[in-house]
Formats: sequence, structure tokens, C-alpha cells
Amino acid sequence: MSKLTSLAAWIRPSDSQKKADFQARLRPHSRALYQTAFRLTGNQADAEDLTQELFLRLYQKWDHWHHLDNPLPWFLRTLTNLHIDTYRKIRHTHGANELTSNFDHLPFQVPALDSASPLALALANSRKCLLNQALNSLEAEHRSLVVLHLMEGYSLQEVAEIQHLPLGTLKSRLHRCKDKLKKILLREPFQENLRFNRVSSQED
Amino acid sequence: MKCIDAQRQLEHLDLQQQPGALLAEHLENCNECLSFHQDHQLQLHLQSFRVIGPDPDFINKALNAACQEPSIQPRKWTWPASMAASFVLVALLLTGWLVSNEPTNPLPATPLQVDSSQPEGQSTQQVRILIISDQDYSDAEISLALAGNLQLEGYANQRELTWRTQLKAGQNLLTLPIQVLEQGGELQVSSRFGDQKHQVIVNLEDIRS
Repeated sequence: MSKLTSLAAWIRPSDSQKKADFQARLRPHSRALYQTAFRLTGNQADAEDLTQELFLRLYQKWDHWHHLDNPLPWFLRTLTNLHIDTYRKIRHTHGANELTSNFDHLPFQVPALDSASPLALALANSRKCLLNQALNSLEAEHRSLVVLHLMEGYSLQEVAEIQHLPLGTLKSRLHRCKDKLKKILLREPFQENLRFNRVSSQED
Repeated sequence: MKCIDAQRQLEHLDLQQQPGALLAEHLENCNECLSFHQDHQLQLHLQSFRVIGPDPDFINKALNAACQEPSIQPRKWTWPASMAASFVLVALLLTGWLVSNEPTNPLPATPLQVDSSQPEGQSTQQVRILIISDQDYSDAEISLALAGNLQLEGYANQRELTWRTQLKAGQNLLTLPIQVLEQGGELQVSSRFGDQKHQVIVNLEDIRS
């Protein structure tokens, strides 16, 4: 009789009620999902496209998640899988790391900084470009781990559940991601010989 | 300098600040604190990532657009649009599903409806049972009894099936893929919640014949 438990999934709301239920269940998570999509893609246009595609997929897969008490891990797994698919398609047709780089320099991507000096703005923009460069250097699968754990703040256990990864695998992948990010983000701005020359010239 | 003091100071550095001389000297000789410092700096970089919000109406539009798209059903559940006209109302039964506490009372609406469709050239009929419920039920019991010439797809050897499921307040749709063989037969659908029991008996015939 255990086979019959799957029959419970066959009963579902009618279309009109399904739409209402779908929106009621998804709306509380929609902003958070968009935010994660933005961190995965790096820009507003791609984040909106990814979010729209996610909503479509979730509506189509309503029967898979509507009975879950907490569907957020299911949403996030779908979101990251969609992003990975998109990343692979783009890499296949255009080469790696072209997801967002074409739009990174556009002014509408620069957030408004209240009372920021030109120097602060320049530094912020410089750091933003460096951060985008570092995140874009990661494979989509690895970026999603960084986004979920280091940026969104999900615990290792939660990320392991979302990504269906063993905890040990997750930890080792995150370790490699952090090393890669550190090499880009924390590198010295000048090579050692140049640094020495600058100090020497000041002393002279 | 002790590591605990060094790490306390490092926690207060932002991305633009450099460690002081004493702290820098400690970092040169202490790998643990250096690693702590680098982790902290990395975290600050990642936290500096600013998310630009979506267009004001984006969420509403995206949610509505998602509902406009036709749902993708598994292949075995679909049928051609041209066959939509072949819907045949098989049975309509009124039961005391709604407000009545007395099973014999008639209902103000049609809480249980059944219809079916049969794609051209196939023996499987999609039998749809619409249950209108007055409230959420967590443990409604659904039972099927199939006559000899009817089979529920995927459950070829089961003549009787019973399972528990949730019902939501409002309309609930139960779609059953029933294979109709030879002359067809009688499908009995029963539901039970608390003291109330309801039953629908549907005669299914092979529309191809």
C-alpha cells in the first residue's frame, strides 16, 4: 500500500484557486528571491529575467512544492539550477564570464551614495568592479554557494540541503571559492618590486 | 600582542583602513590572525555588494505573467486541444460536503462534480472530480473502486484504492487517468471526513467504440 501515498499528489486546487494560492505562497519570498537572483547574475536586467523565469517554473511545478510547509529551499534550488543552466548556455555560445560584464560599467548600475565624495565614489566603483570580476571568475555552481552562504547568510546545513550536497563537499568547495576570491580581492595593488621602488623614491 | 587582542582590532577595520604597525607586525608572524584578517576582509567585500531593487511593478507583473502561462503537464496527462470539445459530463452528484452536518440534507451548491475526456485513439480517459470544500481538511479519505474493465493508470492490479489527502477550502480538483477497456464499467469514488461520507458512481464507456 505504500505505493498509494503518491496518489495524494493527484488532488489539487482548480486553476483559479491555484493561481491565488500560488501568488499567496510565493509573494512573501519574491523579494528575497529577486535579491538572490541579483547576487547570482550581478545586474538588474539579468536578475529580473531570472526571477521571471523562476516564477514561471514554480507555477509549472506547483504540484511539486505546494504541499511543503517551507518551500523556500525548493525555490532557491530551482533558482540556482536555472542560473546554472543559463550560465552554461551563455558560456556555450559566447564563452565564459560574459554573463554580465558588458553592462557592469553602465551608470544605472551604480547605486546612489548619499553625500559621497568623488574619491569615495571612485573607490566604491573600483571595489565594485573588482568584486564583480572576482564573482564572475567563479563557476556558476560555485558562485551560488558563495551567494547563499557568504552573502545571504544561510548556514552550511541549509546550503547543503538547498544544493543537495554532502556537508564535506560543500565545505571543500567553499574553501576553494574563498581562496579564489581572496586572490583577486585581497591582492596587493602593486607588485613587490614596484612597492619597493615607491618607498625608495619617497625616502630619496 | 595576543591573538585575541589582534583579532578584536581586526574586526573593527573597514576596507579602507590598514592595520597599525603593531598589528601589521603581529600579522606577519601569526598565520591564524592573518587568515582571520583575510576572511574578515573578504566578508566586508562581499557585504559591500549592493543589490539594486527591481522596477516597482516587477514583482506583481512577474507573478501575474507566471499564472498566464499554460501549465506544463507530464506527457501522459495531456490531450490535444482539438479534443477539448469531446468532454462528456458523466455524472453530477450532490452531497453534504459543505455546511450540512446532517448527511441527508441537500446542498446549496454542487460540491462534487465529475466529468471526463478521452483523447482520440486512446483508451485512457481523464476523469476529473471537482470537490468543493467549505474549509481546509488535513485528513480527508478518498477511495476508488474500479469495475473489472477499468484500470487506474499505473495501478493495473488494484481494484480498490484508499488514501488520505489534504483538501483546501474552495475547489479541489482530482484528476484520474482511467483506462477503459472493452465495454467500460463503473467507477465508484468515495470520500470520508469525520462522520460524513460521500460517494459518486460514474459509468465510463469507451468513447471510441
